[in-house]
Amino acid sequence: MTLAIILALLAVAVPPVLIWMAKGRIWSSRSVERIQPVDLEAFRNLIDPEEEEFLRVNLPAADFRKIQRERLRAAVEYISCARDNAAVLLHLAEPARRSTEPAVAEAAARLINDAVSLRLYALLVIPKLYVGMVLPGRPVIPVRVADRYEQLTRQVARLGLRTPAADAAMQA
Amino acid sequence: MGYREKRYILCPVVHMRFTALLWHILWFARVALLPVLLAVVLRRKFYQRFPVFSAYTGWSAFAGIAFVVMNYSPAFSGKQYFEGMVIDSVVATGIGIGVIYEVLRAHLRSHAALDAAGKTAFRWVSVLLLALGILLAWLLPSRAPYMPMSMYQVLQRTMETVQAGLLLFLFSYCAYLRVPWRSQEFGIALGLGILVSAGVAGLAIRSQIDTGVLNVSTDIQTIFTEGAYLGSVCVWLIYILAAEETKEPIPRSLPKHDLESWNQELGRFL
Repeated sequence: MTLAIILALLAVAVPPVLIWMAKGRIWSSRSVERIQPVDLEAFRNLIDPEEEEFLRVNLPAADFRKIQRERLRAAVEYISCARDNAAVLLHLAEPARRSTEPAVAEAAARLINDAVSLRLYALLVIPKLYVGMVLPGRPVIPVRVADRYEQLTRQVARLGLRTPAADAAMQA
Repeated sequence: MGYREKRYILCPVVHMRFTALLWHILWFARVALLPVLLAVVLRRKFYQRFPVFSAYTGWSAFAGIAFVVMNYSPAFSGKQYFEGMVIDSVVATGIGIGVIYEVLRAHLRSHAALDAAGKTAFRWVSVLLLALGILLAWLLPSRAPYMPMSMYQVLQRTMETVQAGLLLFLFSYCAYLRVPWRSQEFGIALGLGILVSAGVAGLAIRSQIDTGVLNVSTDIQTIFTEGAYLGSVCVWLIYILAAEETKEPIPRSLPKHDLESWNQELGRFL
């Protein structure tokens, strides 16, 4: 009977929880002042596989594990901050999607897509970083993917296209 | 919904307990309101955007009237009434899960990446919830003395637990991604949430107190579930009749951002 009562109470709590999730949290942050600047270059450095390899080779194992944990913790904070910024941007862009100016409406649609994609990426990436904190020796970014990414950025640079990733590759 | 013995056809209304009278009123109100909801759905061409929900409304309206007829017509036995309940349960559960999936698709239609991820997550969450429901069925069997009724209660509770869990997943997925709800999608999902959560709560208690005889305790449980069902129908009506909200002022420009670069960087992890 106790389990039945617990199940009944949990079930009764479902509709208020649904309302809270749909209405309560969504409208909590919408001011542009709440956007915090996040240094993308610093983040790139934190997750750079070459940097990680350099530290692994040059530091004692215990020090490497400790530093790698700190680096990953910082990376999580960067992503969390970018994720929160995406939420604010999403709320600012949502009404702009109804704009009568096609350029504004299109930019808003693109911004919304980017913002929700970022939040989805953050949802998938942050647990990976936590796993990396527990097992600091394990590479966080799959090497083959990282290699391919580098290859792509080089190709982009060769084509003379300017993207943030290409800029970083050229500076390196 | 709740189990009703066909004994009330023999009792004049004046001899009914107050609690029994109350759940009858709620039952009849719900049965009367469902065809109104169906008419609104058809008149507003709601079936073009939400065909599964429209089918759910149609089925509920039909089943509601059918059960009233079966309850009061001497042509139908208690066994046939019970068989009708089983059929209704199977159909309503199937369409109910379809409604949740339809709301998910409608909600994420404009976000291709989220739509694909949402569909995959929906399947996995369904499997996990089914496992949870089976575990609950094992931990919390029904005490109803009549074996088919006992099985029905446990199966119905399991299916409603799955639906309530899917709705929680849907709302939490959208809340995390900050995808704003359109009022009609929200109304459909909320109405279904009220209905299935009341069903789980009612059946969790009913499966433990059912002695095979209708009494004040079972009446109170039925009042709760019938009240919730009536509430869901009202929620659906209100949200379908209400126009989509457009309160937000439209900004003339958007702030600068580097979301694309962030997405490129985070995409490297996956």
